[in-house]
Amino acid sequence: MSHVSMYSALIPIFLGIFILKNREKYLIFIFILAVVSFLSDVMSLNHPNYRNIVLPVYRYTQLFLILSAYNFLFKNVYQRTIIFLLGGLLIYAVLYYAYLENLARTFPSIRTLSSFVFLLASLFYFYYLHKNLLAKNLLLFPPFWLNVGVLIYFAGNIFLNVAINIFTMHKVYVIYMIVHSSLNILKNLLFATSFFIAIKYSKRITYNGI
Amino acid sequence: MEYELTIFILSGTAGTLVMAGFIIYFVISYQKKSFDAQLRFEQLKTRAEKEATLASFRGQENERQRIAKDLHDDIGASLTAIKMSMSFLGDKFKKNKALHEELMEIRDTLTLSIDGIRAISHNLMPYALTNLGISRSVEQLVNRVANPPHYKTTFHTSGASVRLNEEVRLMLFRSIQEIIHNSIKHSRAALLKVNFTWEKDQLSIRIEDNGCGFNYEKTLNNVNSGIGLKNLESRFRIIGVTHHVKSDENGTGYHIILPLNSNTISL
Repeated sequence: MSHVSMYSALIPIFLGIFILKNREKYLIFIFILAVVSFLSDVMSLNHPNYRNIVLPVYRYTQLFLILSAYNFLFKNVYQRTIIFLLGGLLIYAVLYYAYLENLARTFPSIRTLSSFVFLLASLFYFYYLHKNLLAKNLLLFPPFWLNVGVLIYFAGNIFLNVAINIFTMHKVYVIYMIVHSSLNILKNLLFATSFFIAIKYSKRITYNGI
Repeated sequence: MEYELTIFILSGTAGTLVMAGFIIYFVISYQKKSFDAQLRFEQLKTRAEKEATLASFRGQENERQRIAKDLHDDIGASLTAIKMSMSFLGDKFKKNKALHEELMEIRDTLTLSIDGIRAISHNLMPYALTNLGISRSVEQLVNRVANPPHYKTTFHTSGASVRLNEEVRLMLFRSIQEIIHNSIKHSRAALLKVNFTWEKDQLSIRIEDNGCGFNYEKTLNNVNSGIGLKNLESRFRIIGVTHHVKSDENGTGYHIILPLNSNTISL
């Protein structure tokens, strides 16, 4: 299952190649995220010894990329808040991996904290979308699918992180892994949907006239 | 331990359902709001277009009124004065037969010019419309364009008429005028029939000729022609008229229905 989950990132990566021509910067951030996510999974799987370095770097890169994408989606309106969040979470991440990791049960992991930030950003974007009616047809609006992907994946992650801290049964851990992989596949598919819609319905004409 | 698993699965399922419910609710609510906004936008756009068209027609009418007044009061009055002078000179030079005839010829030409100017002035601003109402104005128009035996016209009215409000009256008159002028100019018809039927809640007008007919939709949508028909449609839209056009090789028939309500009648 974890292999399927890992390789599912190739779908948005493949579609994302066509996105690079697009001027929509938030999609480029998400494309980079898909690439980083795939590389980090490959690294973690093939070189378990480096997990302790790869995962924290990936988590913070993910935080930076997703928040940057949201920054563009919110049209730079909340840029200061986002920079403040990135700075604050970077300090927390450094402190967490340096001192607090051993006290993980007391302090929320950077993973839970960033999931929470993404969940809030996603919910707020739904509100922003509803308030400003940015799209005529929501289902043909790439940021909607992107946002659904972020909401489902990170809400699920929060649930799983809480559950894994509460429940101790081994079976729960097995289900945790399956659900986590499924959420990752779903997220990648939703990102791919977003890319696909952006490619198919983009009215922009590239410089070479294609 | 199994209890933990059950709780985990149940809470996971509940969470999934809540999230799916939220997304579905969001999509439905968004699409509804978007649909309402689009509807509102279309309504505003239609209203703005209607107001712009109305303003343009009002401008045209004001200009027509001004030209009609100038023609009637200034040029018409001057020509009438010249005509009177000609009559006076004609009387004065009665003995000089050649000069007298010359002067009378000039006077007759002036009379034709004065009649012509009066006709143009009436076409531009039918005074009967203000004083006598739509039926009489159209009747006058129909009688004026008659040129028997080449072009016969009939006019009938039935039912108790009501006074339409000024704007509706003018718009309706201009529309009928356009239809009649089209019939004269393009249809090669020999007969024109106009019927007014005043009913309790609507005015039904039928205008029929026996001309060669034309393709209404095609002419209306033709970019290079059909301006008159486009104006006709705009006027009808503004005053809330519904109309049907039937045209073939046996002639053209318009059926115009104007609802009689607080928006259209003069209270």
